[in-house]
Amino acid sequence: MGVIDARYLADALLQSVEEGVRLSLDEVQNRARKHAPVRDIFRHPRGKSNNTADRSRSAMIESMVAKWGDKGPPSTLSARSVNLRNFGLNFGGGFNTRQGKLVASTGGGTRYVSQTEKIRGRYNSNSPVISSPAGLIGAEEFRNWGGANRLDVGDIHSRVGTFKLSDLLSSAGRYEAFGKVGLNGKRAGKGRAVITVAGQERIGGRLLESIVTEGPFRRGNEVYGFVRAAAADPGETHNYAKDQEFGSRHTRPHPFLRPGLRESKERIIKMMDPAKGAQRGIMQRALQMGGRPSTSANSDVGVPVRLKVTTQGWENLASSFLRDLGLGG
Amino acid sequence: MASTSAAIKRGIVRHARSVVPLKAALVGGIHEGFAPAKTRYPFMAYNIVAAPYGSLWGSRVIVALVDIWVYAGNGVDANNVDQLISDAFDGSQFSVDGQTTLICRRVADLPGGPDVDSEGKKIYQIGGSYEVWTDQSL
Repeated sequence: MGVIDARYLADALLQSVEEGVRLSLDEVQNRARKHAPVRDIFRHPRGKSNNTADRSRSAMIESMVAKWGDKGPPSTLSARSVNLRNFGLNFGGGFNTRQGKLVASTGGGTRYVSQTEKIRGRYNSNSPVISSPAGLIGAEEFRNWGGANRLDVGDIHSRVGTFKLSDLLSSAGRYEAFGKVGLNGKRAGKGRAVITVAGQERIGGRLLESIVTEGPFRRGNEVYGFVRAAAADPGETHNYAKDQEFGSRHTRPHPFLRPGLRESKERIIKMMDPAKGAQRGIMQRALQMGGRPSTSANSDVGVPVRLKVTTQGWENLASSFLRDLGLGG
Repeated sequence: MASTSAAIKRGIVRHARSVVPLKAALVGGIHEGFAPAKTRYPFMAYNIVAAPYGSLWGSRVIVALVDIWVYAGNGVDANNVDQLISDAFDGSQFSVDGQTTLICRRVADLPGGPDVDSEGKKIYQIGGSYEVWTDQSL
């Protein structure tokens, strides 16, 4: 009869459960990010876009981005980056342009760009287009953007052949991007929506970036982790994420964490099943070999798994939903 | 024709209005999402969080998670009205057009701290999450 270390086995099982929890947390995080609401800062005279629809795949844009490869977008368009997907990808032009007509003015005069310059308007359209090595990209294509999560558009300085970002923004968008208008009639510079991610400045995406996973952690024979969102505007402690998840007196709710968890339910169960199966198998084998698995780690229903989804300070709230999912809590 | 979670929202509002003590307590009425400024307190606001479909042969089950909030001028009112809502919905089988309500149960409290409204008045936001299971033949 062999000798078996039940504690060692139990620890191995917990490790497999930890991996399952880790994958589950990533799954919930990804789905929560897809549901996270975004501030719409662009002008779009031809109807608002729907975030979910805009995030669906578009093979055409995918191919255009693929042509950029690792080099990224052209440098002439890189002065100010805009995370288009975070804003529903809808930046249809609010100013009249068409092929050959000015898009960026200097000194208030009207100038015309030539065929060889970078930016052109689409003929008989209000939609500006961006010239890229992959060809012209217009607002219609961006509506179904599903590719890389960033595209650099626009130089905020007046220069022939480039966009003025401010011209693409709604008034609310200019506030978000450039701040309040001061006494001198000019905007402060950087608005509250400007964030720095990996050394690059972006407009928007603070809530998305705040959705993070924590864990998995062990406590006794439990494994648990968190998906957390805690976005706050600069200089403020108010949790913007909480307002979006649950609503407030002034804001209608746009839940993103809990729908993310609910959508992940089936996949989480699938991910955890192998761990349960492995546990049963190993424990049965251990018993056959005369081992004595510790009761704390042995259970007919598997190692308890706690997967908490929470916003800051709301841990108790979210754990109740996990009980609904049959994942403990 | 299969009906959607919109029918569940209608059912929730209809049921809330049909419970006399609750309707009397909701001075500011019932609102989806959030209420306009200057709405009187207390009022109720509801919002569907998620409503995934489960398809079986010949039928569809919708499991809708609905947040129902009470906004009130003081914490006591907010808790009292929240209790009335819980009494009305927890364990009830209210009618939903085109669907059979299998169960409605309260699955979580939603504790909210005091906030300040647009008129500078201190308000309390308290509520609960309810899970509504419905079934309909396809």
